[in-house]
Amino acid sequence: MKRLTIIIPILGLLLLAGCMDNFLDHKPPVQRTQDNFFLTKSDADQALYSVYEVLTFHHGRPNSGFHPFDLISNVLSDDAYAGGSGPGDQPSIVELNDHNISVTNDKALGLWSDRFTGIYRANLLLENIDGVMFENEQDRTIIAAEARFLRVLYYFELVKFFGNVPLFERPLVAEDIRMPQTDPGEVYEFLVTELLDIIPDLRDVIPPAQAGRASSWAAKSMLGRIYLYHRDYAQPVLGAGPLPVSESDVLGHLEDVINNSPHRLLDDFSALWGRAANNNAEAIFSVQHGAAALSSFGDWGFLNGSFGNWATTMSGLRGVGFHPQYIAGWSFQPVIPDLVEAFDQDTDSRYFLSILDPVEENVRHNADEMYQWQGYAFKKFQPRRPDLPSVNDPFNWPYNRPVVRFADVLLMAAELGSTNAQDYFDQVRMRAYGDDFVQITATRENIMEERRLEFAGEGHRYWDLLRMGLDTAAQKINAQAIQDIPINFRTERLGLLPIPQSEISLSDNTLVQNPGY
Amino acid sequence: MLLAVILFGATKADAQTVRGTVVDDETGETLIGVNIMLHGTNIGTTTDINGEYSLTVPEREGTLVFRYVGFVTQRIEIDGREEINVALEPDIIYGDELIMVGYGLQQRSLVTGAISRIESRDIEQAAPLRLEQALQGRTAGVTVIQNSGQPGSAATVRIRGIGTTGNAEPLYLVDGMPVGGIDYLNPADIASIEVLKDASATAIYGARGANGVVMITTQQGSPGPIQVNYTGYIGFQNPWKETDLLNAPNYMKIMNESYANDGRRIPFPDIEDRIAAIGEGTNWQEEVFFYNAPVTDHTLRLSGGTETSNYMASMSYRQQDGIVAEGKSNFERMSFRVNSNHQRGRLDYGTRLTYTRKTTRGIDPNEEFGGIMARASNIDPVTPVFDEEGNFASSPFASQEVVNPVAFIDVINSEWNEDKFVGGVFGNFNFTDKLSLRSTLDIDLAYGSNRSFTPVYDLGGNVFNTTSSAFQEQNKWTTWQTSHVLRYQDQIEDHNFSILGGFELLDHRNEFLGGVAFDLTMESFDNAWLSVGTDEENQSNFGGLGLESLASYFSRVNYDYDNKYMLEGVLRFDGSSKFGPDDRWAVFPAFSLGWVLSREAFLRDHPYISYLKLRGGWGQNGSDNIGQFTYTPLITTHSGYGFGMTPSLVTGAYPTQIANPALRWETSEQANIGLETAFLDHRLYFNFDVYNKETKGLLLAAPIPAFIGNAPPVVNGGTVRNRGFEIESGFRQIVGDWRVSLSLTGTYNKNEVTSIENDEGRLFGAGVSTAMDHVAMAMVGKPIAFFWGYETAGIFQTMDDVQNHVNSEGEVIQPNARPGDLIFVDHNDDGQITDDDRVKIGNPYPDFTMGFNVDLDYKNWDLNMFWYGSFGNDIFTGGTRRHDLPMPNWKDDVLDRWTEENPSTTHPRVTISDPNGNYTRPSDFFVEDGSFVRLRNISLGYTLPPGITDRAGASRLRVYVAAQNLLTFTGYSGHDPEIGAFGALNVGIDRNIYPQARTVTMGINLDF
Repeated sequence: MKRLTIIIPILGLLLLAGCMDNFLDHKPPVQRTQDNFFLTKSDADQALYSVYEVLTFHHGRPNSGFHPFDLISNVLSDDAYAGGSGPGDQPSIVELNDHNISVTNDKALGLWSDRFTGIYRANLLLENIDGVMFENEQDRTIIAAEARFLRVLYYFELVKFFGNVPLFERPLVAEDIRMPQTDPGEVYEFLVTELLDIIPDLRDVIPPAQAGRASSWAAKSMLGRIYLYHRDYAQPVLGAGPLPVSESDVLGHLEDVINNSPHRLLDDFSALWGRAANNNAEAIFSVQHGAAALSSFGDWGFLNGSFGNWATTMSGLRGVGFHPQYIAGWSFQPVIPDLVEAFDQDTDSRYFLSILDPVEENVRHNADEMYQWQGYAFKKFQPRRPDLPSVNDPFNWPYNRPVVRFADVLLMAAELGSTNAQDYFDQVRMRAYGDDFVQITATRENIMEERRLEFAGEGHRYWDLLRMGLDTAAQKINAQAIQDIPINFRTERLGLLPIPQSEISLSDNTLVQNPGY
Repeated sequence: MLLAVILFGATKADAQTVRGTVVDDETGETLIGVNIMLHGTNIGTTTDINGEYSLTVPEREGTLVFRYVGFVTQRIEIDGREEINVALEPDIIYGDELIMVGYGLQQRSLVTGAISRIESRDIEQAAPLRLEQALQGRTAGVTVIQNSGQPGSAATVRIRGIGTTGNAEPLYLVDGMPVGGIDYLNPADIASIEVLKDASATAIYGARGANGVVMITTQQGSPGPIQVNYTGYIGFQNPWKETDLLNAPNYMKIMNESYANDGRRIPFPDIEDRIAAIGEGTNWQEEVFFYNAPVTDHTLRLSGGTETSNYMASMSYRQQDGIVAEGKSNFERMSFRVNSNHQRGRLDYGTRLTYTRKTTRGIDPNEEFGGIMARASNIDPVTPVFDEEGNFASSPFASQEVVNPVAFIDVINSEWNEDKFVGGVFGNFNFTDKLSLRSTLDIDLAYGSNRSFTPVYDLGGNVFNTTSSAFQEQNKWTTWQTSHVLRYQDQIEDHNFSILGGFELLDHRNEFLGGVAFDLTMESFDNAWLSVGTDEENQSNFGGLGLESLASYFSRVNYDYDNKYMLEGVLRFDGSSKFGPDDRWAVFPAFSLGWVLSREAFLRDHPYISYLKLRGGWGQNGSDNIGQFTYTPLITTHSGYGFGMTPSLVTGAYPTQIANPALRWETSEQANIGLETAFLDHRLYFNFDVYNKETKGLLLAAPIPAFIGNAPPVVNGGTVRNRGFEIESGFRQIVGDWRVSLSLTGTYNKNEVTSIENDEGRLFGAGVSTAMDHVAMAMVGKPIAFFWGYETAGIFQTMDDVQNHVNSEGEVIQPNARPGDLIFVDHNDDGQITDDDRVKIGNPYPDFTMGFNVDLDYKNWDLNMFWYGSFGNDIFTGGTRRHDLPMPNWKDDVLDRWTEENPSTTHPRVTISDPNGNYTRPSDFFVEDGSFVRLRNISLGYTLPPGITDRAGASRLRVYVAAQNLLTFTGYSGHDPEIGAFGALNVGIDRNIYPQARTVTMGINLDF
């Protein structure tokens, strides 16, 4: 008996030992792991949506934030200063505006890492999509094509900002720290080849419930954008080699968009802005922004998680108080008077819709609290009271950001020398001037000036300036330097941002810094 | 061993009575309330105020058992005597009392690890609002910083420094059961707390011992008739100081000067009229403080039992209001406890059952944007609390988050409710005298619910809410643990040894469920439940489960020769579900040695030295304080994008981060040498420990470039070293009617990060408001969480000074500066002030802390004083004012700012645009010495003479008045120098802390 009382616990102990590993083995209860993902169409859809989601990322990782693409592009150009509440409010945006950019600028790192996040997610999906079970093979084709389209977008923005970036088409692993930069010409060739390849796979008609997904028209329009940027900037400035597509083919695609797509120029420029304008007929591809429902989206620890348009909160005026039209924000990207003066304020209907003059509109504001304030703000995405999100307004402004819209396609086709160039150019201007329209010739110079006005605040100007040549860009940008705002665009930097210093060191010095830095 | 029992000859008297006096063997003082039982019966009594007892027995035969908390129990044969006087040997200073070590008790003199102990008496004197406070200053090597003055707010407890950037909290065990925190305990239920500090003491807890172990033992009953104790107090709390902020006239003057300095329009051209109208203006601190905030506490305890069975039952209630934000910051706790022990033959068993209900309402205790204290300190004094219509006024000068704090108090509504049941059963079976098995099963079941209500409001600035909402969350935590320990002990001549081996399983799960509803049909906190929402599109919910398990085998071997030479070895083998299948198990060894010199012939009868022991040990511990499933390649889903004409959400899925299946524990390795001494018949004691503790394998984000495109894996890549020494000493003496007892503890710790294996060799910590990033930092060669900023070299007095501040190349370093601006040191000599010039400008952790306790008794009076001092800790004050905004209020030291008339060398000029960054660069201008000395506790008690007490039927009645934080000596200018850790790299940063209260209480202790 006594022996038994000893043996039983010891036996029990041994038995338990065998079960220990079972006892310790838990499967994550609420999350999938990479082992049980990429099985079904729903998995592939979710993976694709996570690639789209990166379009709204404005905050890098980890938490180097506040760099919406349009806002940063505007601040780099001759259209806007840095702003904010003072020199201590996002000093790295002040650096970008001054073109006195340090290699540790956190906005540069944020722009860089957000886009590579999108590329990683696209590559991961593309690597795994063959193993997914689809009932309809068409779905596989469409999902893969959209992932490739987004990858082109992310790479195009990368190569615009940084010039020399590593190109890869597979999801990297932790050991891949030594990825060399790819010749920019090769990157442009990749972008164009990809677009030409996926145009047949992408849909011509997107159902209204899926508005915002990439269509073949989006790919064709982006082809024009990339072609022009390559022709006018990458080739002459970076020495990129020729593209595997002819100018007439590109123009053909643009004319196709103009003539055969469901997209058109809206009659009224005002119909392009505000919440009701989301996914209007002129929008060929837009970054979707909405009011995500709940408090988890108002999470200051996960800014990239929001679905709203951050540029909206960032460009609002300070000290608005109660106003039936406007809500206060953080006063970034105050408009430079040079842009205001470029408009013909009396005849151009775009002026009142693009530029907010709070004195004129009698909006209370506190000029003392707004750094570098010159009296004007961008208006297209201003935070407006009627659209005020019900919760957490900084996170949830529901204004889509157009990436490419019909007016742009018209102007690109005009620029590429379409036989209808003058007509396309006039269409855009007639809408703007209405009865005051007076025809001017569709010269490149006029087109470029028109682009500045048409797309004011949409983040195109800086890239158009670079397309006009480094000397022009330098001259126009540096002309905006005033007392206490020492802007100094240096042509030897080729208009590029620095490769983030941390990336160079973490790549074991495989990455090479851009010229001039 | 000292002779403990003094027997007097029997005298002839009533054959039915035994009487006598019980005294402290060491001091000779009489002992009140000693429990005396006739062995094997229910006959018993206690000693009275004079230490005397009288017990009626059937016959003068049998054994009397004398028990008293803190003293060694004595058994004495009556042997026909009438008078038996007893001297009980105290447990506390030295000797052979048993103290808790992991999975058992050990004779104190034979312990080879570093263990501090405090007892119920210490806890009673400390009268702590939280149990952790009782450890502060009373246990060397334990740093306790109250996180804030908010009722129920946690305390930062660090044992021998901080060795991790993760969770640095020690492991808390209550009667052997690990519990997440100890705020559910009623301090009056605690019998003793042992703090295991070095690796030889903690290694038996293996994977959870790296941050030290706090073992708490609750009160037990003792044989005897039912004893009833009531303790209760009521008290009032007040802020111990008001920070000196500018009044309205000075505020307007400084603001006008700030704007004028920038050549801008001044905001108060009508300053004289305004002063005439509002005088001093609003004192916002007075408006948000709750003066005479009440605190009340009642505990009733019943205990008793027989030789074979005893029980202790208690119930308690506490209610405490906070001194800030009346009605929105308070704490309430109700608790019940029943402990019982039983014995039958070879089997002992017992139960520990406790239930606690807690309700907490709280505000942000240290937050520079939205905290009440932050708003009260930043809002201008010109604005009144109410406008002319009687509504809350909003300030035209303050902006952004700086809004009327009184109005804000009105709109915050949240409440945390927790029901917690902790219960356990243990059985101990003695197979033989030498071999026993102890099995335990413990359960910790807690339900926590969180609820908040946000009404529609617009307080000006950017503080508004357009849709009412209710948030509700329910949590259930279930933990069970079972352990089975086989123990064998034997003695062969002078060789004593014991061997212990066991295993333990622990399983923890946490289910949670919650949601948010908007646009409520009834807008009040009482009605703020999810069902009251109407906006179905935005209503949302969440729910899930957390899981973790720990399996362990452990063994300990103790050997000693003649109680003089001790040797101990420990081995623990832990498996944790938090690590991948191939890296789940780890071994934690320790060994230690001890030598009691005072038992050697050459010291045995030394006239002065009564006790002398040398001990030393080495061991390894782990920390598994990381999240669940960190090693697996998890897929995160997130709804952050949408499609449709008016975009509606879709759910995306992506890998959370690059996985590291080889993730391992953080390992802490510690060596310790200790000396324990007692002199002059144990009246004086002095213990000294010195240690070196290294934590290896710190969890960090791996150094991978961002172009890889996913969050980096967590890897084991850093080392932190803590070195220090600790002193515990004391003295007691009796002179006539006076009894004096003093004790002094001291702790010195030096923390240094010795490696960080990421690219930058550093980890970035917390920043302050929007302008000052990464004020805290971990970097090789520096203490963890040190303040990282610019060094200043005074103030430019003239433009020439500015032009002469050049680097070695002659470049002007601060070309934008004007006279009155701070001079920054260009450490890298590149002619510019950049992040590369930032250096260590302060350390939030104290170099040295000490506690000094004085007990002074005179006849029926008792006086206790406890002083606590913290030296060498710095405070970063940059978060106390919103320097990123133009018009927040200032502390009044700004009156000494630099002006042309007042060429200050300490405070720069005032400016709004601040081109030099005086107020936006984190510099040593914002670092203050946070050293302080506090009279943490003082109490004066009077025990009523027995004549009066007897008439009330009580055996003892003590009345007292006490005060906490009555005196504070500090040079610190802010609300309070005690600022705890709000994260591993967010320590000692003052964002307008919720200050500690000065509390005055009146109470009674009543025994029947």
